[in-house]
Amino acid sequence: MLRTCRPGAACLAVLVGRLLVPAAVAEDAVPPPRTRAEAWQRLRDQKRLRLQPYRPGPIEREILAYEKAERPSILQLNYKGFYPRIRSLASGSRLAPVLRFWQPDIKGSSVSLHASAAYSPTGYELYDFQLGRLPHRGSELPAPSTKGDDVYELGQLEESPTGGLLLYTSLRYRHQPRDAFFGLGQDTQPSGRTSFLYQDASYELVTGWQFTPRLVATARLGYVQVFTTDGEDDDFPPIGALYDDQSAPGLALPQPDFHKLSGLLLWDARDRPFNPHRGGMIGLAFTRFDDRGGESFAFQRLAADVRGYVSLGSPQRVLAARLLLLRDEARAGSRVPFYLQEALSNSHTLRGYPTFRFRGEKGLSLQAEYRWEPAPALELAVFVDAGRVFRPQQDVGLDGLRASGGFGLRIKTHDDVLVRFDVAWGDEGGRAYLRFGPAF
Amino acid sequence: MALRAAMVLLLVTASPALAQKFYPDDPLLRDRDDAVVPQPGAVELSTAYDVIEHTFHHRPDGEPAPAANVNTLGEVPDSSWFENRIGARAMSLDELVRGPATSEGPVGRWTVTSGKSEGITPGFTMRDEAGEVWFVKFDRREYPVLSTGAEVIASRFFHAMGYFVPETHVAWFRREELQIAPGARIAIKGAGKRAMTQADLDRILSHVKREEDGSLRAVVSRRLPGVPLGPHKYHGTRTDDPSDVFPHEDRRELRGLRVFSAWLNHDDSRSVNTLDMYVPPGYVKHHLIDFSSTLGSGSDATRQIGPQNPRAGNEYVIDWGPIARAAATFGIADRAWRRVPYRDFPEIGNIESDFFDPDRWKPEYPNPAFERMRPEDAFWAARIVARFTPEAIRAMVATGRLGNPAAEEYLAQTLVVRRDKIVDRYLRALNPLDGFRVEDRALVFDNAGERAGLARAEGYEHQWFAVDNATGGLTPLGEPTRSTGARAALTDSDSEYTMVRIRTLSDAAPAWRQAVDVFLRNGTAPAIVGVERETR
Repeated sequence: MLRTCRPGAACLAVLVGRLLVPAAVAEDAVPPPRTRAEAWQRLRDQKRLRLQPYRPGPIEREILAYEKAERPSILQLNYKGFYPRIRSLASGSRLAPVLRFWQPDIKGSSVSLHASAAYSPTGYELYDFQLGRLPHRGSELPAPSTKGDDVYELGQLEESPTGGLLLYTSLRYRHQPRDAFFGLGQDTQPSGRTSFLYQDASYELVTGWQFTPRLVATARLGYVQVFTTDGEDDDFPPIGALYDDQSAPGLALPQPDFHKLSGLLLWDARDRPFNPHRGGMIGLAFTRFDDRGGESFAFQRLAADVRGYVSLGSPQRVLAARLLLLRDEARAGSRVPFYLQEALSNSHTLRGYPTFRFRGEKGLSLQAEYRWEPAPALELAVFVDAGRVFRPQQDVGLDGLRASGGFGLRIKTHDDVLVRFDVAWGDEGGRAYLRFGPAF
Repeated sequence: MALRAAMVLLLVTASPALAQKFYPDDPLLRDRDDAVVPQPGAVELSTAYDVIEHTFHHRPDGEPAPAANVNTLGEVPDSSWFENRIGARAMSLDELVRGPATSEGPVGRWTVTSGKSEGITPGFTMRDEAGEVWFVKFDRREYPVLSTGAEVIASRFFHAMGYFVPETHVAWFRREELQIAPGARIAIKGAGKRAMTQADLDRILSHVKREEDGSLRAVVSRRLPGVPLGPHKYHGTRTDDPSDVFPHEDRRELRGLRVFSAWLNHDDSRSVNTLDMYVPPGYVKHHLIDFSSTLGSGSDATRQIGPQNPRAGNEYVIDWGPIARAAATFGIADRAWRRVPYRDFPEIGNIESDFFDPDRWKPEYPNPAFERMRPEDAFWAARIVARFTPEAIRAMVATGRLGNPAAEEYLAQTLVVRRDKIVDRYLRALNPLDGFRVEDRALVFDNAGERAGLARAEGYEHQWFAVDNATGGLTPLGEPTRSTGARAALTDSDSEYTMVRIRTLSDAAPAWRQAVDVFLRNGTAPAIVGVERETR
């Protein structure tokens, strides 16, 4: 038999078949079928001896359980309102595990409670608490409290799907031990990088009104305690080694506390705010800081964030552009503390430079991305970022812009960017980012 | 593939003497797979896992084997999977329109017994006054007849083709006529099931458009008789059903389903839209269910019922080739299907016939049976498609009660053109002779390609052989001869079996020159026992 058996699986089958069916049975005892129906019936008779129930594998079982809604989806996984998450706490923090507590619309009221605690591997900490009429969609978690804080995230403010009044208190403590400081202005050098520790505790009352689904205004009244000193990043010298209170206003201890008043007006005509393909957005923000009990660090900030999205012949090809303008103005005799000055260069602006590379009282950022979707859940992008900061006496203009460019890969749902992987290069090297959420 | 081949050969090896070419009962017109068997267990399949499994696994890795469950004529015998209907006999318009229905629909007041608040199509289950259980689904308010119309129309087509499908009707009812049965429950995503309330019912119905007279339109699907066992896969066999011996990917009616699905744009033709039932006296009957994503109806990017996503039917949900091309060319090498214009009929959604190419059509994700479809499988299906006349198509489209004559006419005409493309593609690809019969000491046949108007046959070449039934060996009985008519005079032979090899001569259809071998069992009344088609 071996001589007539060709190599391969078929040969194996012949051999196994002969082993399973004794030769006497196979060749002598069982007569050949007399009909086609009998031949087919013999197949069934043989299968009847090997019946076994269907057993899905563990992965299929788990996926099926989610589909059958026997348990919440992975985004709703929680234990009595405690949600585990991973996110970046601040530029430079790297990804941190976060435990969020969320009780929406307590006992059928419009009052919700949110709190979170996070600690990153680089020692960054964040603890916050909000109570009141928080903007949120159903049982979904609200936007992190830091979303209303950073200028470059103006457009990522969560709108209230139900519209109407927002009114809540917000308490937050942040500890950022390794923030980077390169000096102020555009002419700083990479070699001037130092490390500083930044801590703040803020106590805010937030109110807002959603006039239409596209127009929302918010106001914040708060009190902010700040502490800053040498940083803990062993790879770079502490800030005190290269800078003093003149070159880094506000470095001298003790740092004052601040009263804070801010207002934001957001007009949002993007088709999908967190995964836009067409439309635009304009965010205007005004913030005033007054140091408590003094006139040394009183200033106001104006910020404008304009974004536009155009589909190029197909929704799968999108040209996205963004203009960000910042202007801090200190009152006579006051200065703007370095730690409250906005910095360009992070995962949202000038992505080819180190985090907080350019810090100043005025800033201009121009960005353009060409995004295309080879598949519904996949987006690729090439982008160019340009921008610079200015000293107080300088006029804002296009001269001396620093630029970086790169490409990105994003995994998306219909309404959101789940994961964004961007790689960018500037004239000082390159950077890679893994983030949850859109660039802009 | 190698392992599967090994298993099939193992069966053959353990069951000696399948070498004989013809048996006395050939051609088998019914596969007796309805013998009583122990009740198999219920199967639940994951939709997402099905996508992953079929995208990355069960893909053919070579020339697929010929279909395993056909009889010696190359036809699909009646079985628990399929029943020859329009492909084997004339069906009246009344029969086509009635489809699988044995009733006129639900009777009297509806008592809701369970609800479904989540999913693409919210709905509920109810019992009518006759005690029959019906599944009730609705259209989205923005497209008030789209999916219910598609469901009813498509179910009638698939029934006529030969598949087992549920009885469906378009029905209207009033909210105040509904009552909730004591103990009715509703499934809430993430929270399991709880008692169903009037508020739940109102929430389900809040997405449904009310007619001017206050009534609501639904599609009602009658519960199939028997015990539900869950879906069947399009590969392998049900491991706990002894009657299920032919790998599903090798069943001709499942391979040919690709052609039917292409015709009706049934991109959702996947395992989760099938249902096996354990029926009296005790065997497994296999059904196709849920035709809401057919014709121009489907779901959009947010999984809401609406006009069919233009990708559907043109590209798998994960299709590496187009993804790579679009990625490498910055999206400039975009898909041609994105530029296809659709007529603006909310009643029928996105379906057209100009861009449609039956070869290029794809379901939502790879289907192991579809991917193994061979030319003869497609030929089998295309001959069935060709049997639907424009008159029949119009009558069946009308069952969707779309309420817009222009939309109905457009849909019917679109299906006629798509039918013609299918017939042209698959009847032109091989020698399309059929209708073989013995008349006046001659083998007489028809030409399905000529019948469909594809080309004219200038003549036929035929040569007779004696057949050794034990070995399949052939001995020529003379030289090839030519005729202009569709007949070949029988030749004298002592052999129990003879075969005539026929080639069709047509300049306009050169593929028709491929051989069709027709086998006869000789005797006082020669009978046709086999048909084999050459495929290149």
